[in-house]
Amino acid sequence: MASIPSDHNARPAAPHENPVVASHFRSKAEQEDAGKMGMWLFLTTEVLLFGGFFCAYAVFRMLYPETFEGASAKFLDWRIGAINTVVLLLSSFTVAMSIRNAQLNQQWWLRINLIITIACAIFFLVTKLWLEYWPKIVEGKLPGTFFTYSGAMTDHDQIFLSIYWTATATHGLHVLIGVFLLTWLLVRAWKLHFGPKTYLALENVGLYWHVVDLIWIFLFPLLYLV
Amino acid sequence: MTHPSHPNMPGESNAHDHHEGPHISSVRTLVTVFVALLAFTAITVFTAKMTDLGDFGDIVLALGLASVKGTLVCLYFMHLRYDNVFYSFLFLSCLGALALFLGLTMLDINNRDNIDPIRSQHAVPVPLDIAGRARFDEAQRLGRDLYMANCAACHAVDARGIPGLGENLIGDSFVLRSSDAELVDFIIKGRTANDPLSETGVPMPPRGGNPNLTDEQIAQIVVYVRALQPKDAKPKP
Repeated sequence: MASIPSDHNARPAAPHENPVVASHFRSKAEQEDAGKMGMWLFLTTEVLLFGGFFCAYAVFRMLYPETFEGASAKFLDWRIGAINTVVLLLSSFTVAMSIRNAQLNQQWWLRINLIITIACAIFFLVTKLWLEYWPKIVEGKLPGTFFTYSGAMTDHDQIFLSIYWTATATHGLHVLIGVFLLTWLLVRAWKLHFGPKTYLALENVGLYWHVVDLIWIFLFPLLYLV
Repeated sequence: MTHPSHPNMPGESNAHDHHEGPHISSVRTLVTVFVALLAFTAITVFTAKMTDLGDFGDIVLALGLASVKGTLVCLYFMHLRYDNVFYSFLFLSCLGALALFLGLTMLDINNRDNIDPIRSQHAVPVPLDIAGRARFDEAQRLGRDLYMANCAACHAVDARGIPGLGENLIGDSFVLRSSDAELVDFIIKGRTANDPLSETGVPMPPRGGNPNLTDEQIAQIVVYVRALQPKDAKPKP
């Protein structure tokens, strides 16, 4: 193992100062390019996955415009959606900041920003389950054949709810996975795995997290507002 | 600048974009983008609640604002503006595929009825005023559903009849010769198998065998069957 040039001779090297390059890569730069490109390819599939929900929304909105125009106000509270939007935007901001922290070797700020991000993600999930999903389950505002809500005004209310549940639950699952990934990052940050030379995992999870935010940016107005 | 090995001291990163090594976003950039995203969220909520541009206008406005927010996230939070252009290319290709996917589906949904016999034929004079036209389209659509539920079993889904069961209805002299009211009347009463006027020897049950069909629904079925007739159809003498 090569010795690390360091100004502090007495201090043992932190893991991030000694990045590992897998043997099948010619250089660390190549390894990072490949890793990031893989992440971007994965993200394109994510966008296309959610594209299916947006397509379903567009088709049914075109077929039943009267149902969809009233459904946001009837079934959803825009304030909860707006709060969750702000929370996700904040978490995107802190994750972007955490990459900067790693690049500048600000280990404490890195941890703090990751903790804020995780807290935002958990807040999002709790709000969703407690204030949105649970009351809907109780009232029977459920997708497809589970729909037992008695106050439905049109035959197509359940179509809106089916799209709402499918899209937001898939999105929520992504948030939950994000919580685990971010926790993994936090543990690694505590072990000093990230620094100016080594922050690819941070960047890649960050990209994933931004796409989760990006999708919510489009889901929010379509489901809660217009 | 002077020491590429320590290019990024806190607070100076943004001023020197041409240093070696990866770009580091400045706190100011990130905060500005975050505040802009909050502002656009507020604008989205405000315009959706306060303005009414019609159903379509509201959607376009909301999606337009969401796209601005999305672009900011991609360029600054996801770092595309400073990163390898190839990642931008990948992501834009994906958005292009998404646009094709959504666009072609919408084209299909929008134009599907145009190749349906209902819309392509004009055997029935079409009311000119928009409200009348809408009522007429609605009657045809309801009539088609009713036809499929009540008549198609014997007269076939394409209304060309089934041997030994129902008559062909398209271009049929009886259909073409009779007025709407006569046809409605005929469907209400039906015809027994031994009726001298019967052409097939198969009974036509009153109301197509469904006593729950209202007269109005039968009229809607007639509107649908009329629309199926070829444009230049004339009754045989």
